[in-house]
Amino acid sequence: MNDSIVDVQDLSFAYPDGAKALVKINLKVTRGEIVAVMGRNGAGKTTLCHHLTGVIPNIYQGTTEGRVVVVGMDVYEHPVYELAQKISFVTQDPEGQLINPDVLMEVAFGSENLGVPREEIMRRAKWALEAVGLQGLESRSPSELSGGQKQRLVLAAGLSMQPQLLVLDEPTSQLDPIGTTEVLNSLVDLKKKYNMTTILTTHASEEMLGFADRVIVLSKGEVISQGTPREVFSQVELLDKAGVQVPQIALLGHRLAPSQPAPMTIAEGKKLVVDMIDRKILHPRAISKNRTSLPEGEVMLECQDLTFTYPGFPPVTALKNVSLQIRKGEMVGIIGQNGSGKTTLVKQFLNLLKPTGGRVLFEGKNIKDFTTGELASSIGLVLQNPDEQLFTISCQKEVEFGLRNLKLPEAQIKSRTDEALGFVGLSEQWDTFPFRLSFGDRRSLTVAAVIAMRPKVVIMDEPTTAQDYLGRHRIAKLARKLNEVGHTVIMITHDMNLITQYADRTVVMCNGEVLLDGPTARVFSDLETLKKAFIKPPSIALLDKELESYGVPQGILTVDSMIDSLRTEGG
Amino acid sequence: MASLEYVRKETPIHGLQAITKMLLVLASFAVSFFALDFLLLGLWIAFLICWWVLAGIEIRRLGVILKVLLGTYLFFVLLQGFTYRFGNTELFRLGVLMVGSRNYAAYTLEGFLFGTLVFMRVLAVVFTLPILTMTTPMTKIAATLGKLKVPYQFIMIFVTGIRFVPLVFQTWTNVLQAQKLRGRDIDKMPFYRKATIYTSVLTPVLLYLLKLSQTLQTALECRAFGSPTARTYVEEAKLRFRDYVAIATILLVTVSLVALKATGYSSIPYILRVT
Repeated sequence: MNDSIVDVQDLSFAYPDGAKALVKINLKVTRGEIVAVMGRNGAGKTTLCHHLTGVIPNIYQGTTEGRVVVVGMDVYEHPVYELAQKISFVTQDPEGQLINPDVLMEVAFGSENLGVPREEIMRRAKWALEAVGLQGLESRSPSELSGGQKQRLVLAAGLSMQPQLLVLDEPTSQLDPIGTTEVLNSLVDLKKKYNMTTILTTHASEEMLGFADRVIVLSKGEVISQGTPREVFSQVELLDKAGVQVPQIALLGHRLAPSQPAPMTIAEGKKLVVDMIDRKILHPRAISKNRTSLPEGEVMLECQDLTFTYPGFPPVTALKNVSLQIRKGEMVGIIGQNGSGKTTLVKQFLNLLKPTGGRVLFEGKNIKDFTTGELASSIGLVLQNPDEQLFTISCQKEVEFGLRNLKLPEAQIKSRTDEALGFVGLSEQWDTFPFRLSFGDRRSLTVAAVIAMRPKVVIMDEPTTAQDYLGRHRIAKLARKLNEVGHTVIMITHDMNLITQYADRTVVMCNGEVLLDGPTARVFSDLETLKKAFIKPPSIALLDKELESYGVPQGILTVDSMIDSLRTEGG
Repeated sequence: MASLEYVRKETPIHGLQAITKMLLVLASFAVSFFALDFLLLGLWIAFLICWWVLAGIEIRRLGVILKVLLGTYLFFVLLQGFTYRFGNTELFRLGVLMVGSRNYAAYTLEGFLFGTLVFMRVLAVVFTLPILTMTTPMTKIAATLGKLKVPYQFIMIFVTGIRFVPLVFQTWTNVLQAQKLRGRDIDKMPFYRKATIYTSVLTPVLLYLLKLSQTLQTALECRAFGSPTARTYVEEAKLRFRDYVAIATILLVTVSLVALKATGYSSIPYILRVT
């Protein structure tokens, strides 16, 4: 039987600084539904989650109007520990939520606090661990788990309190595709087996297609659209304005036949295209947009039989005989699942980690003869977390920090600072305290601080994590712009759409080895090997494969290229 | 800290309850305080080494701690060797630095022996820590503290503190790395300059800790921490036969050593007894 589990009426909320986060939200969710809440960063998704779980008003305060009743409880009348017995809340960073030293105790923690009898706690813990597929790992330390496993452990910890509602705030934002699949599959299983209700916030449009029952789109704190994924993802213009990525197949369908219902699956996309080819509306033709060979410029960075082992008990070998050359002017994407060795590899380029075997050369010189500080003027590395890379009191001083270390004259420091801030669009905020910037702007500032030093090579490690669709493309465009003005750029990301759109060359890593390396189009045509590296190509690449026998050129990776290759009549 | 972390193994010591091992720690304090003597402390340290062997503690995991201990030993024998006020038997001298009738540039045998004795006292306590922390999961320690009626809020502070120490160190390392990546050549800096840059490292580390504490607060409250209900402890801390045997052994050895000292026994050379 379906009954209402969430009832939000006319909810408006403003933070103490006056910023309006939610405006007149009305939302009803029935038991067993999976609801995806989407919208750009700052749209109000997390604030809504905080209301649904009682975190607002119990932990964070502000000005609220309206009413929030969840599982029959008004969140303004119950403390969080009471709400927690029926609502489980998981945030995007599992690290800060894992409190206990082993998996079993982590799962038991909530029930222990509620004074549930020991036998019952053990029964619940067993059930919760089975529900998320972590049985057998009870005595493991959370630190020994992968990213996907950690996120599922946080989920199990909430489940063991036997909630009726799961509220998950971007539970997959830090996960690779395989980790994302693990978490989403667990949620589908919970729905099937226990009729569990789930509300999650996400930027992952493609994944929501076969997963969510309903999608709600927030923009500036307001609900601007809701319905089935099919209904919502058909509203291409609206989603574009709201900063929500439209799934590739839907976007293709919309651009080819705007008057028809947008296709959602590869099969539907194929049917539409084949039908239009049959009716002679589309005419497949070869395009020369994708590079199939690599530039032959001078070698900037080179790894020769590079091996690296993290010391520990037991030691972990993160790189195994990696040999790689990065040439001047290249735009290289490095992909692979969490723990495949991507970050370890780029840290070797700057001597942040010293090779256990083999060597790294920069412009022919062994980098072991240089310190990281010396290499930094030639190789710029932007690390994953911007908050660990901001040390000063203003954006201007942040950019100047590196330039002063290079001991440049004042005039040059000023001109380069202005130029770098302008490059990333932060000129107006030159005197803002960096931690007051939005997450996306903080990331851009770290990029500005690195590029101001004018390194020959710029490396960006997961620059798109936790970014919305617009933020991800803004960073990728920035990388492309750097490449166009002469920098060699290396970008690590889990976002296949970005890699296929922006990188000329792609390196696929798996278990510390380079599995594939070559022009991006060629790499993404080797579906078998990509599968071994647990990499899912973009939907458009899979559709392209399906259309091979209809004369559609192969190696197409983006919607634009696909449209180019399917010339319309008179087009 | 990392080298004292729990190591999952199946040994007789791992099978003991935390309370038994906590008793060993207390006994170590008692022996080091009441049995200040080369032979008695030596016997106690040998007793602890037996526990190490039974617990399968691998020396290689304690590399950092052993280095710190070696540094501590050198510090004690150097300091006491030159400054021990009853030092008479001069072994060597670096020059003349007279303060009153004492030459503080002269290294004495009595100072060396006294430094060694003080170090043995430290060792007697420090050697028990791996036995407790490397063979006992933190959950068992927390449950035992709970049974001892230590308020759960204090236990939680202790457990989360231990849990987050590696994260704080990781952040510290990451911030230092980020500064190197911006051309701050920390590797080539002299020590006194390195010390001055740590203020700019502290700012982001503290901001990170603030953010982490907010996440932690939300996570704790969403899992009913602070509920007025009486808490259940899943970990059981019931003593078993092997615990009784271990407790009896600890008490026997402790009482014997302390009693021996109380009866006036001493292996300390006569030259030190003037203290």
